[in-house]
Amino acid sequence: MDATEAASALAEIQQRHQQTLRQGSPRRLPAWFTYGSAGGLALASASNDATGWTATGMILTAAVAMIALAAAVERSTGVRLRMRAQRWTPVALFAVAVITAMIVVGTLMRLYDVPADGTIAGLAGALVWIAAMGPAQAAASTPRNIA
Amino acid sequence: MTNARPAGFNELLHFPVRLSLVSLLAPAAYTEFSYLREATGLSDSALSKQLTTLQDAGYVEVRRTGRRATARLTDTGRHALNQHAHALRALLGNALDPTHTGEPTPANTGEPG
Repeated sequence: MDATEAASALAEIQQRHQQTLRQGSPRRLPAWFTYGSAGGLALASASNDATGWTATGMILTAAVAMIALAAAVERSTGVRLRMRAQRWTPVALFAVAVITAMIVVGTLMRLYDVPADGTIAGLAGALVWIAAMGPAQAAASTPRNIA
Repeated sequence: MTNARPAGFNELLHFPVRLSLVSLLAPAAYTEFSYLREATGLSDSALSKQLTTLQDAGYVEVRRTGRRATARLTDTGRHALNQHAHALRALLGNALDPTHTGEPTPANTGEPG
C-alpha cells in the first residue's frame, strides 16, 4: 500500500458519494412530478371550499397523489438519500414561500369576501410551487460531503 | 512508500469493487439493485457475489420484495467505511510527513531550523 493507492481509494470514495447524491437528488425533477404535486397542493387547499365527504375526499386524493408521485420519483432514481445527506435549508425556504403565498392570498380573498378563497389560495401556492421548485431543487442538490 | 497498514484499514473494503459499492451506498438510506449495477457496470451475478460478501461481513443488508431488490449500508458497514477512510487519510498523512519517510529534517539531523 503506497500513498498513491491510498489517494486513489479516497478519491473513489468521494466520487462514488457524489454520484449517489446526484442520482438521489437530481438538479432537475421531472415535469410530471412538479405539475402533479402542484395540482395535489391546489386540490388540498380547494377542499376548504367544500364540505363533508367531498372535502375529506379531496384531501385524501391530494395526499395519496403526493405520496404516489414522491414514490414514483424515488423509483425512477433508484436511490433514497439519508436525511443528513440532503440540504434542508432550500427545502424549508421553499415550503415557507409556498405557505406564505397561500396564507397571504387566502387572507386577502377572505377579507374581500371572494368566493372559493381556498381554491384561489391553492392556485397561488401551486404557482409558487411550480416557479420555486426548480431553484430550490438545484440548491438542495448541491453536493454535500457527509464522509 | 510503505507496506504498513494503519489502524482501521479494512482489507475487505479496500477491494476496488467493494469499495465502490459501499461508497455508493454510504449517502443513501437504500438504493435499488439496478442503480448499483448501472453505476458499477457489473453483471447481476458479479454484483450479487460482491453484495453477498459484504452481507456476510455484516456491512450491507439486501432486501428483496418481489422483483425489486434494494441494498443498504448497515451501521457496522458505515463505521467500517469511516474507519477505512480514516486509515487511508492517516496513510496519506504519513506519506506527506517527512519524519515517516526517513528524509533528513532539522529535528533528526540536529541542524538549526
